[in-house]
Amino acid sequence: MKRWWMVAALAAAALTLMPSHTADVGELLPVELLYVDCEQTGVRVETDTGEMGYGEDLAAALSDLKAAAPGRVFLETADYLVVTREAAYLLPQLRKILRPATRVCLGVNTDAGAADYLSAHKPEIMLKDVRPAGQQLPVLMGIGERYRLVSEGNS
Amino acid sequence: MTDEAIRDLFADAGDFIVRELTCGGFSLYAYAIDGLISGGDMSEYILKPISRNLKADTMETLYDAALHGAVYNSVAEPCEDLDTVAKKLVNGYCVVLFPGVGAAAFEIKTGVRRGPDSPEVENTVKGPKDAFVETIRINTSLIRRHLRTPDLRIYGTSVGRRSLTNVAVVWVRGLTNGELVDKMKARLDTIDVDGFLSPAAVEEYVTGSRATAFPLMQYTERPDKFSQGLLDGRVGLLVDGLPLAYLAPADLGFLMESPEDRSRDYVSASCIRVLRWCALILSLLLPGFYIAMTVFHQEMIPLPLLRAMIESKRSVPFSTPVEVLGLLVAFELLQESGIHLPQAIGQSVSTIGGIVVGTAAVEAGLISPAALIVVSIAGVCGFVLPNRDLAEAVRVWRFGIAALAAAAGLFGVTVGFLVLVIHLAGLTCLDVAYLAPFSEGEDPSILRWRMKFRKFRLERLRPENRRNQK
Repeated sequence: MKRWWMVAALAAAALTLMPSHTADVGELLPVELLYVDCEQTGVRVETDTGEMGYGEDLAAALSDLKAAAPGRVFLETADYLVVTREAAYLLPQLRKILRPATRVCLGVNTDAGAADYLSAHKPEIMLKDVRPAGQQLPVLMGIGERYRLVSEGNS
Repeated sequence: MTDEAIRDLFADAGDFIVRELTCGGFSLYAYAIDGLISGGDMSEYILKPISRNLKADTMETLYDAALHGAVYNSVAEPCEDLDTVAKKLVNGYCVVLFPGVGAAAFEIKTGVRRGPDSPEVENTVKGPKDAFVETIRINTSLIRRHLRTPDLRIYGTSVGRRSLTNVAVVWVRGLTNGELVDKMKARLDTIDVDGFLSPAAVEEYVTGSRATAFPLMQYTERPDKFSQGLLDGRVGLLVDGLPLAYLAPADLGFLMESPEDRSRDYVSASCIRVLRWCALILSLLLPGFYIAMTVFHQEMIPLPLLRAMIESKRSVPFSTPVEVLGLLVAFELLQESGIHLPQAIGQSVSTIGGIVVGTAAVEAGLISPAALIVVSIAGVCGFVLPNRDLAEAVRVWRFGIAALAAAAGLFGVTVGFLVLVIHLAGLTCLDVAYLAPFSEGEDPSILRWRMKFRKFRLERLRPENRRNQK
């Protein structure tokens, strides 16, 4: 009898530890590149899958992105983060949302379509290495239809 | 012991033969069971000598003469009671009753029986091609041919109140621990059942019917593997009517060994063994791991692979757990149908079911290719396991772990695996732990060492002589 009580107690403890947040893989929209820009009226986020969100701050923009997407936007797979110089102050917040190994660069005249280019020319700095201020970030420049990654720029 | 009493034993039995003989003015009775004896041998080696050689003044003298050579038969044994008469008759003897004095049994078993054939399940490329048959005496002769030592011991008894199944405990004197032999004999003595006919009955009654799917005795159809087990210091069990033999104790290390390991070089055998252990893990955990990763931990999947999985899953109407568990059930059904059909049809059903239906289901968008691949890999890995009973236990646990993964992701897989390890750690066979190969100081037998370095028998079997070579 004592044994069964122990099993029941262990099962109850296990239940509290069980993950409750699930999503089948078929519902996901995995993001490879997240583009963040700051405009005068708020924050704009774009993904390489074509989804876009807009809001007063980053949280609102991400909420808008998720609400408008035809599936579950899955940011945990993002390999690249491109932020404009104006949105660089959001990096500490983005560190809490994206994986630490996400590679970061500053975007100039660019958009969310640079995933293929960045997978061939990986930015050196990862999100976990970004300092709050004075960090040298590589710059992704959009020149017409082409991209160019240069190792300079201040966050 | 009278003629009427013996006739009553087998009254209304259509195959019971009674022959009345007159010998020197005395009436004798010969009894036998048709089909178990050879009619020609009965005429040649019992009836003919009785009518020609037996001459005496008293029944006592006749009886003595019959037992001591006048009836020339290789085996002649006195029967002291009706039970003995019955046992002799059902074992292929002809019993001759000398009324008022006693009965004598002469062995004239029929020669019609299946001869040793090649193994069907435990086939090897280079190893011996003989396999056990249903007749216990042929099986003991096969063992004798592999182990010619006079120290080979065969203890015969019968189990089953009605089946009277002949059972033999086999061991090598001076190697096998006496306690193991005594325990095996004691377990056989405690079995009091009507029939002892099926492998499940043998395994459950001998091992004490533990609540587990894992085999607690190792079966083999190969005399060479059985003999090697005896040389390792294990106890063997032969059961008349079963074309296989059992070895005890059995633990996970023994169950993962294949006769093929000893028929190839140690490097190849070691590589195959490592693969086999990997196959065990994959067969057990892969479906659960896949469910956990696709439902709970997608961030752990590399992006290109995740994209491919998402693409393949886009049109599938079922969730991943339903898909995988459904495929596992379908896989089991296919396997079961293949077993119950004749071999040629069974293969066709497996091919049609596995390839045609699987491909059609993927093309129709009912299942995703990734799920089909995962379940197929798990299934194929299950076939890699050398012991079928172990593979079936793994199949059962695979379902449980997949269900736990569907409920709790990797946490569920971990809980399931831990429960399995705890369950296995609690199992013993003849007081040898099931996970003994993984206990401290033991050789888990994951690699096949060079034979010249294996100078000692396994400690966990407590053999009476540990050294097996110079």
